[in-house]
Order: sequence, then structure tokens, then C-alpha cells
Amino acid sequence: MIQVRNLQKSFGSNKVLKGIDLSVEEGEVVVILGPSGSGKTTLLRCINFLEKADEGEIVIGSTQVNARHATKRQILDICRKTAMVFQSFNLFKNKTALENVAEGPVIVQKVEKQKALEYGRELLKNVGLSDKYDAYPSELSGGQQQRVGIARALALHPEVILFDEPTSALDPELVGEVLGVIKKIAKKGITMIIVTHEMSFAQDVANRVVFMDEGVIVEQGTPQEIFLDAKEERTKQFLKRITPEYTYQI
Amino acid sequence: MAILQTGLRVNLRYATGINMYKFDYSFFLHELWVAVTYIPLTLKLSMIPMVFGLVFGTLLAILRIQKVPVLNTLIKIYILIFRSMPMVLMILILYFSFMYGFDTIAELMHLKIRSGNVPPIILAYIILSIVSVAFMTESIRTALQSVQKGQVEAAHSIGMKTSAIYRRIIIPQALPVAIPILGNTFIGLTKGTALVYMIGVTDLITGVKIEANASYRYLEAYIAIAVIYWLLCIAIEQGIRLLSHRVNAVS
Repeated sequence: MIQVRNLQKSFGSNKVLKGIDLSVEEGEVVVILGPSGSGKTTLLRCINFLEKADEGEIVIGSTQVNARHATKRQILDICRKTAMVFQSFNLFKNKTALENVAEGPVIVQKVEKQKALEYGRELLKNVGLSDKYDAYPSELSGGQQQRVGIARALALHPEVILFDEPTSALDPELVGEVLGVIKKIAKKGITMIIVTHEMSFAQDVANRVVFMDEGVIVEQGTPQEIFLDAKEERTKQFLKRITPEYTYQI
Repeated sequence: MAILQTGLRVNLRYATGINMYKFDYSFFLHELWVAVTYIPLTLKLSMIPMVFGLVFGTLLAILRIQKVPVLNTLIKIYILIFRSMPMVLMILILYFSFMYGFDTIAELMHLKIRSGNVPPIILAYIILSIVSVAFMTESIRTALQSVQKGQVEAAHSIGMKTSAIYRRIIIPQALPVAIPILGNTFIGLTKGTALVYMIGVTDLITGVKIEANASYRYLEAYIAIAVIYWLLCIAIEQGIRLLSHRVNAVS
């Protein structure tokens, strides 16, 4: 379904990804964990070519691309099969919530405008924003903006949605509403790759947890396997540092 | 003889210092009226290069931002040359290189036409346009680059093509930033049109001055010209303000 093979990426002399192999099945929810600077976000950004990897292959559905020799057409293809939810929302500032959601379908997929708007309203309603169709991003709270961002991603019917720390820029009291929406769509069988620091959410939503450190995948497995029974020393240490409460809950 | 006499009269007046200069209001009004008739020409001289500047400036700015190899360097050199030189020099250098270049080419092609046959006003349009494009490119580039990177990334992530991203995301968001900057450039261009007299165009300044030659009432003439430039610049500023409000209300 989605395959990443031997993905490598350097920024200058700093090698951020040192050969990542990852495959994600259709409908699977994969959560990537790891300390900051471990390359999680870079991995996501390389998958949809916001960063161009130096080496490696990316396969999404029927599109297979060699990062080194990717053509413009192939990159566009990959972009059109993926959608991304950003840490800083990145809603189009010059467009209303509804226009943000309808932009992709109308401009990229050439859906009829009325239909796209109608579907956009439905999606916004699903993320609890039925009263904010005509609000501009500057008029929305962070949590609301991120929910629009999720609706914008959903509107494209992508083969995979990439979540890049979707709640990291939110005030604590707004995190819940966004995680709630992500959980809801996870149940619908949409393929997702999520980078997050919300451990209990990860445990809840993930089919598989991938732990990354220093540009490599250290360990992966079901949430139980990783959170309760990690094999690797680095994984254990990370979890210990970031979720002391788990040691008490068990 | 007549020249000598008037010259003497003027000299005497300044020499004695007794004869106070009397501002000639009726001549001033007359000159003001003459100046008004030159407004369309001044506007044409600033607006045509402005339009060229907007179109080609946007194009060059995008080529700069996209870092198109070779072209990017050429544009950089072009801007460097034209932005770091007094406008008078630019106009003179462009004028003479055009004249000599034109004659050489015409000779090579065995054409009868010579640079002297080209109306100076056409040259003025061309030269001011070249200058305006250089100024506009940098202003427009600044405005385009003020759009946050995340906006462009989001557009890429939903699969938009670069052309669509410019059309739908970058340019609409850059407009509110661009308008005041471009407005200032436009005012600068309008004032810059005063220099076209150097290449033989009868513009606002020369046209009004000619009338004053006979009576030596230059102060009246120059103030009349200044009033027109004031009015033009105030009008442009108001226009920009209105446009700014409009654009800000939309976005």
C-alpha cells in the first residue's frame, strides 16, 4: 500500500534519515514516536516531497518514485495521493474555512464547485464546525483551525493522511477536541501516519507504533508491544522519560 | 539688443535690491492652466511604464524566487545596474546606447531609418519601462516572499501546481503587502517622468517653462508645476489608500 524503502536525507552534513524502511497497510493507523531531532517530521515531509530525499524509494498505491530521480509529474502524483495536517495548521489565510476545504477538490480534482462546497460543509459539520463555514482562519481558535485542516485533508480522499504533530502548537485545553476528531476518522478506516507526542492518544489510536531515534527506526510493534514490553533499551529510556505515569498505571 | 536690455533690467533689479519681486498671480494662473494640459502626458509617462513594470516585474520576481538558473543571475545583474544609479544617468545612458545601437543596426541592415526619426516620446516610454521593471521586480519579490512558507507547503500538500499556487494563494496574500510598496514606486516614477526633458520630450516642466521664457517669470512657472505634481501625488496616494482598504477588506 504505502512503502518507503531505504529513505535517506541529509541537511548539510547532518544526516537526518539514515535509511528508513516502512510499509503501511491500507486502513492502518501508524504512530511514529521519538525524541525531537530523530527525523520523524522529516520522514513525513519526505513521503509527500515537501522535502526531497537524497536516496530511496517511495511507493504509494500505483505510483512508485525514486527520490533521487523524481520528476515533477511524479511528485505531483504523490502529492495528490497524500494529504497533510500541519503542526502550525497552515490554513490558507485568504480563504474561509469552507473555501479551504473545497480548494483541493475544485482546483486539483476539478470537482464541480457546488458539489465541493456541499461536501465541504458536510466535512466541517463532521469535525464540529457547522457554524464556522464563512470564518477566516484568523477568526478561529487553534483547535478550530486544526479541525478545518483535518477536513481539508479529508476532502481530497487521499490514500494516506500524514499528521505532523497536529496538537503540538495548541493550548492544552484545545488538544482534546483535535485528538477526538482524529480518533473519529481513524475508526473510518482511513490510512494515517501520525507523528505525535501524545502518548495516551498514540496508545488509543494506533494499530502500530514506530519508534525512531537518530534517523533510524529502532523498533516497531503494536501499542502493547511498544508501551508495555519494549525490547530495545533506547525505546525503554524514551518512554520512561516521556511517560512516567505509565509506570504507575500498569 | 533686446536680450541685452532685458538682461540689464533683471540685473538692475537684483543689484538695487529695492525693487521687490511681485508675484504675478495672473501669470501663475495662466501657467497653472498650461500645466494642467500636460497632466495627461505625465500620467501616460508614468502609467505605461507602471503597467510594464507590474507585468514583467511579477514575471521576473517569480523567476527570481523559483531560482531559475542563468536567468536568475541575469535578472540580479539587471536590477543591480539599474537600482544603484541615479535615474538621470540611467535615462541618459539608455538614451545614448539606444541611439547608437539603433543607428548601427539600421546601417547593418541597410535601412534608411535613423535614430533621429524615432519620436523621443517612444524612447521615453521604453526607457522608463526598463527602469520601472527593475524597481518593480524587487518590490514585488519582497511582497511575494512575505507570504509564509507554510502556505505554499499546504498548497503543495493538496497537490496544487505551482502556477495555481501563485494564482490562488501567493499573489492574493501578497497583494495587501505589495500595494503600499508599489504605490510608493508609482509616485517615484511619476516624479521621475520630469527627467524625460533630457532626451527631448516636451513634458510638464519644459512645456510650462517655455511660456515663462518670454517674461522671466520662472518662479510662477515652477510653482505652478509643483502644484500639479503635488496634486498628482496626493491623488495617487488617495487611490492607493482606497485600493488598500478594498484589498484588506477582502482578505
